[in-house]
Amino acid sequence: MGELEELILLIVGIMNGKAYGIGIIEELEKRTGRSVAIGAAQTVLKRMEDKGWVTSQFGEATKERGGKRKRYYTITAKGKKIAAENREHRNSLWEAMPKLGLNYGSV
Amino acid sequence: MDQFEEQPPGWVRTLLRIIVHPEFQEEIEGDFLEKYQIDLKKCGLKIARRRLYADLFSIAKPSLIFNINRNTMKPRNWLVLLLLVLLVAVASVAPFLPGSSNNFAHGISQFAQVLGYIGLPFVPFGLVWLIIEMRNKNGQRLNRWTNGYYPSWLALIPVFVFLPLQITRTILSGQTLGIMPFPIIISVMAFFIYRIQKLKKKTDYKFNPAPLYIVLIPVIAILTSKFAVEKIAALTREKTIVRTQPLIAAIERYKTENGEYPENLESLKGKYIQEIPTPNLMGMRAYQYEKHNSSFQLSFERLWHWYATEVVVYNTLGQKGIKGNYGNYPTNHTNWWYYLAD
Repeated sequence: MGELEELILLIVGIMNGKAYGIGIIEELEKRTGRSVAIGAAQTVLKRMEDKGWVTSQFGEATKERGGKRKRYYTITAKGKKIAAENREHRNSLWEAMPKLGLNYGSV
Repeated sequence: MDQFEEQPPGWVRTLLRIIVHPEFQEEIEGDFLEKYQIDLKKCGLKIARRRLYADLFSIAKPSLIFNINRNTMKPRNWLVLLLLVLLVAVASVAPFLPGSSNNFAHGISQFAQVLGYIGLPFVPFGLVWLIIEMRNKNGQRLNRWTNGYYPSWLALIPVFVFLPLQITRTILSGQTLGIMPFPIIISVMAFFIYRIQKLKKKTDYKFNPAPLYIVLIPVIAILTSKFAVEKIAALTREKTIVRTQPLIAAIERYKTENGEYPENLESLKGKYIQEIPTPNLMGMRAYQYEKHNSSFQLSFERLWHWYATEVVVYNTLGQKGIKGNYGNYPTNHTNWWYYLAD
């Protein structure tokens, strides 16, 4: 799983059924300070949907969207499992790091 | 003033509709418009425009343009494509494979090489069909153009034209064994026709990889013919010439001892040479020896070219044309020339 994939999957999970293209980009920027282009976010969303990590359905159309409908993404059980596994891998790496390496404040 | 009065330039929306796959168009166009409004409020027109153009570049990705995913090219489609490409490549170089001389290798090589030239005019057509196929939308109702039925028949036209011509040409050239590949080719054609008939009833979209084959097979055939076949032909010609040097040395030794060249190659066996070299490649024929008054000519034919026979000739008098040749070329060895002939 790529870093952007992981971030977007988590944002979809956090937004709990209200995640759509621009909403995800805005939320990601608010939480991580990272700016993502529409094409990059959409590519990741399509790939994750293809892998069965998220599902999607059309929602409402709004005026600022020129009458175009939003597509809402929801994390699936498979997506949650992948995200949890990823977290475990990271945690195990953190636990494996020697304590000496974390005392950067004393350097 | 309406807060949404300032819209992105019209050409951006038009471009989005052209580029983005129809399945994603609505949501991506909506995202562009919404983001543009957010950026306008936050940063003003100039920066909103700049970000809009940057986002436009970001959607130029195959997965957003062509809907390429696991529902389109499945692993078995890739496997079939790989096998077809390998088949064309191996068939093209069949005359250079080790083995006893036979016309079968020449027949399939000719077919594979010609397939490229015949199929090339249909590559643009295959590309158009491929784009239609990859831009079809899930759940879309198909007609006989979009389901590939008519495009498939059009794509088969060159094979229908070429096949009888090639069979006639092979029979007239007396290469009886050369017609052996044709029953296989006709069987494959029959299978394609059966599959095309099934397309007639296809009304729901499901990716058809056929146009991908129409585009890639001729291109691979031409690239193999132009770069691999001709290079391998040059390499094996050189090797065969080197392999023939002991035979020429034996003929010259015979002349030194007997005052004249031998009547035939058999006369050399035993005292001058252990064994007369035999063809070691499938597309090569036995050595031909001709004795003249004060010279001799040794030659061998190679069947690999798609419209000509290559005759490689050693003549003690240097270059000497052969009957029916329309091209003669030097080699890296003295007194060795090769010709392309009927």
